[in-house]
Amino acid sequence: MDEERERGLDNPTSYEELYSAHRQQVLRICRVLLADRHEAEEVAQEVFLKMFRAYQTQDHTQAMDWKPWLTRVSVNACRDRRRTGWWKWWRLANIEYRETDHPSRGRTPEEEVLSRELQRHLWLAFRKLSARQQEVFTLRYVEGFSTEEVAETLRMSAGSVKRHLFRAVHQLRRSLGDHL
Amino acid sequence: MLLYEGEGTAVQRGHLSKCEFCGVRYQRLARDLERIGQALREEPPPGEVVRGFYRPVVPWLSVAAGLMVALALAWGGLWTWNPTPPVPTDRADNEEVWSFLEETSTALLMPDTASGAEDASQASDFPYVSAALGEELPCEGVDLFFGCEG
Repeated sequence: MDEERERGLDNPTSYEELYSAHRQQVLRICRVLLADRHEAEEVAQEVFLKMFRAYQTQDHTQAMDWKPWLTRVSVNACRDRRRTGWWKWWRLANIEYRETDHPSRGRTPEEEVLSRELQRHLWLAFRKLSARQQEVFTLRYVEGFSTEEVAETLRMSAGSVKRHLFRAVHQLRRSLGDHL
Repeated sequence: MLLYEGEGTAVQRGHLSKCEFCGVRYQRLARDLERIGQALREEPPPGEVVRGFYRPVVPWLSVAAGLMVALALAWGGLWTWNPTPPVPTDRADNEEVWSFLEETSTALLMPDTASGAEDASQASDFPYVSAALGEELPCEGVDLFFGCEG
């Protein structure tokens, strides 16, 4: 974050700078919430298209913090996609596993197997959470937002965020058991 | 968990710093959350393993609903295009019902009928009263032998 501030990316002015500054974050949120890289890329494109439209109508004399806006739009877009995109399950169910899509990141084969096994269990447990719990957990523990920031972004009370977090963590630990 | 989220009282925080067991649990929670967050930041595992968790419910519901509608339409279509001919009612079986209905309707219409009959009798009495007063009797039927001149 400090590096970004030094490079001036915390307050980008042009659309291209905004896109560069927030692309990874938007893509990551979409990937976690949709559990699908291709779908995440599609939704991220939609989000940036919305941002482009909003950017054009924005009053550029006043600075705007795009991060909460983009996060909220991303979460809503993922929610919409999950509601309407069920049919893609049929299309995507037969996608083959490709090693090139999952680079080993310099681990030994044993570590790689264990890591994949843990990751599989973890994702399965994560997908069992309610949509709201997934959203809150993603923003808090994947994106590193504070509880207040999560509450503000998702337009919930801080107490509600904490309740969702507590239930999510409780359920994750119960589902994962010894895998952690 | 509450303490991890910055809540809890000063007493609880003090206990956490002193109690080894609680300290270990706290550290373990922090480590687990870090590991989960880190794993979720990486690429999700392939395809059907995680993707289908919430989705299969919806297609199966849709398919089931579609089948129900199709069956209902098929049944409705058959029923419409091949209507069963009406079964002739057995008059004998319904004789009691019909007689009951006739009696009931007669009973229901009785007051009007009575008044109508009264009017009729009044109307039919008129010629006889006229005859009594000196006029001829009205013809009440065809007389086969003498005819009727009325």
